[in-house]
Amino acid sequence: MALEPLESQASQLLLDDGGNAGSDYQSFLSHLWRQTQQAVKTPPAKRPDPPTPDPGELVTHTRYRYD
Amino acid sequence: MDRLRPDSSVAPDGIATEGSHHIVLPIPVLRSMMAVFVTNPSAAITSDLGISRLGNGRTEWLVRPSSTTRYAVSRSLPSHRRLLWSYRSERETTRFPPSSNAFPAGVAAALVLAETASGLSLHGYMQSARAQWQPVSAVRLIGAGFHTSATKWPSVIAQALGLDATTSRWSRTAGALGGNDILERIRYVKGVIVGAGRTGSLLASAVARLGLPLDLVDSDVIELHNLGEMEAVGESDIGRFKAEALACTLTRLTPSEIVAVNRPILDPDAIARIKACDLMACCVDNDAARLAAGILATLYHKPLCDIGSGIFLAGRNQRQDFPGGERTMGTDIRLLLPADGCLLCHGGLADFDGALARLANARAPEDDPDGWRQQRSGSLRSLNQMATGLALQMIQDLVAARLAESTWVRIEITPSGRAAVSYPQVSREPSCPLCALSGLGDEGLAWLPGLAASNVHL
Repeated sequence: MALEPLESQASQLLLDDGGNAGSDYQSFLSHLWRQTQQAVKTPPAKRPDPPTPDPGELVTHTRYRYD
Repeated sequence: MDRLRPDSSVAPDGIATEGSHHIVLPIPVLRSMMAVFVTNPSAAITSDLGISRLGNGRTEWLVRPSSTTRYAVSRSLPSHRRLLWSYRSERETTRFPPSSNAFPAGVAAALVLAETASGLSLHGYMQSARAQWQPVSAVRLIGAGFHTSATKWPSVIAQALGLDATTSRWSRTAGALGGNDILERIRYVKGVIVGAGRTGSLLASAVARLGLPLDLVDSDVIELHNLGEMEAVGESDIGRFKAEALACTLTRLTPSEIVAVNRPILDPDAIARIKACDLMACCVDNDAARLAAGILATLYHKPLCDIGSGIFLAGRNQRQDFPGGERTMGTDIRLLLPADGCLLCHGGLADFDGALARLANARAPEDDPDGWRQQRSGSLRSLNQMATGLALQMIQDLVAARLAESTWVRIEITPSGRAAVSYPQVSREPSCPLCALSGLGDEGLAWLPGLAASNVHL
């Protein structure tokens, strides 16, 4: 099943529950479930293609490996 | 590799008998299964299971991403254990666990998503020796928040730690993090830092001051040239193991419980420590050890924070990959979450071929005290402090569930002294060979050619 990537809304979880529910296993699960339901049943509109990066600016590999 | 032999809590066919059993579930895997149940609540789905035997009857059952199955089958990997998923809506009267006569072949565990009036819950079960379902000790969600079914964070942990954020040494930290519960979750995370040198010692000091239990893995000893940049060591420590000297000092200065493992990363003692941790950090200075850390993190579903830094001055070293400019200086920091891309997906290694060759051949590192001059121009504590400061912030945000996906950050200081922060492009391959090992556990370790037997000094 191909799914649109789910937006990271973890910080919203804290905000939704007054800053306390982020520690709660069941609240986290319930939030994840609602988020998934929303993503599956109401797929987000297609996003515009990101701007094509300048090949000179494209970085895909690590450079630094010491210390 | 005695530690990797089956213990008495798990029969050879993978059926649980006794002891403590945890189901270890990366959040991306849970999300993908939830998506299936949203469209088909009666779906019967299974996942492959890896196993991590921790000794003393403790066993972790690692739920593998579904994308790894085809690769595993094609490689004839030995794992045949499976986990059965099911969903119960609030209206259903069916009790869980599922009926014991409904065991598909090879199923050793079950996860039940149950919707109740108070929200969604997730229950884990193992098959007992008498073909009955028994609840597992805990279901642990790996990723943002470090949530687990086993603990009520605020009450149990606060009492156990004697924590009162209004009067404790962490009152400001708790306030800045967003509350006592987040601080308590951070303090409950057991960390392992591989590499206790210039960068590792800075990270260890910062982490230990938060009170996390911490293991330090490093087989190197302290030399005079380490004292200029390392944290928490002095002249009297020259000749001592880095991990041991650092652990002694930080134990005195902080409330953290710190264990020194004066062994290479692939030593059985070091692997046993890594298997038992919640979070790995890698602060090594060579890509062979970095690759080994990436493999272990992938096999055992460990979040991995990898830090590498480097400073190159024009005409002062023989590296050919930093053309032009009078100085190239920066650090790559990668926080990699299980089932959300691996070390190779997020930037790979600066010297992958060399790292692989060293692991495969178990070749010892060059014993050349001046060799570093050919690789780089030196080391600055200021750069390493930037790297470890940002790494710790990312770890805090991961535990606080603010950071929820694998993240790669690069800081570079331009020749004119300006800092630039970037988030490089991630290139993920569906056929990534390292991701294919995700959650294989002990069997993957034994299967990797040469790895378990390697005695390479890393």
